[in-house]
Amino acid sequence: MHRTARHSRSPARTHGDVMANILVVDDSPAVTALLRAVLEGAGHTVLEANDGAGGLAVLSTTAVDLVVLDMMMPGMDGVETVRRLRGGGNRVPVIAMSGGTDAFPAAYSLKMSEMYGADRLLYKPFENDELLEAVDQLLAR
Amino acid sequence: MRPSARATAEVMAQVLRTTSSLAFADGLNPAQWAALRYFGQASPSARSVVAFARYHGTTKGTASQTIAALSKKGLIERHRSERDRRSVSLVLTPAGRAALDHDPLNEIAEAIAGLPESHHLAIAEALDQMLRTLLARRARRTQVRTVDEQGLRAVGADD
Repeated sequence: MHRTARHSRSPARTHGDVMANILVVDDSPAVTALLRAVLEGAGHTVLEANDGAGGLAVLSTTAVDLVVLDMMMPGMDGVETVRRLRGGGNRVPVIAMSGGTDAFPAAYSLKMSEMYGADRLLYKPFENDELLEAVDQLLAR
Repeated sequence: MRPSARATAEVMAQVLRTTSSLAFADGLNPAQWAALRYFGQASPSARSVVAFARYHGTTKGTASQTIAALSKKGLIERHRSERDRRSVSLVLTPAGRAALDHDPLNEIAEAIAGLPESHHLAIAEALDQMLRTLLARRARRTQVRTVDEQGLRAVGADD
């Protein structure tokens, strides 16, 4: 089972406590910038990838404590990314987020990601506090 | 031997009929159960009719009817936000939360949980692929209809 060095250590990193390495995977630069601002504002370090393949590449080389993963991306989407991540044995906590589209409603993509092992589902748009609460809960596990 | 695709589709239809009949439980229909589940888990910013409709890819009218039925049964109620008095949140009542204890989906989940892990994973991956195929076909049909309708409007405009 692949585990990042950081994730294999005992957790308990909250934004009021210890900084965590958080990977944000989203194809929208605007969303990524917003998430970066919120997470860095809470004291975390943010890594970025703009699709699932890029996210998996970062996870294979870098110690990551938590992943914030968009579901709707060109190339490898979020559902497939969670499937491959868990299929490879990586248990890093994953927050799946989606606003859905007419063709692929969030009810489908978020539940599919949960089916493969996403830990928390965030339905866009969400409040900053909702993201930080989810991050804190997962890092404290 | 590869199973017959047609027969597999018919067995799947039987599973759907069985799960659908299970979902008519405690006086609620499948859409009402879906709404109860949604509002049982929704974050504060997503507790609205519009968010529920968008989440399930349905219309606001259909979502409103479902929520009105749940409200009439005393399972969901409107709360005015403390922070923004103009904003209204939909939340489950204690009876709504208690109803979720008898969610008919639990029985289906138990049947799935009883499968060997390899079968469970195979089902998950098959459902993923089938859903993607069906959604892509539905999207293509919608596009074709839209193009046809635009064409008809354009023809009408010429008349």
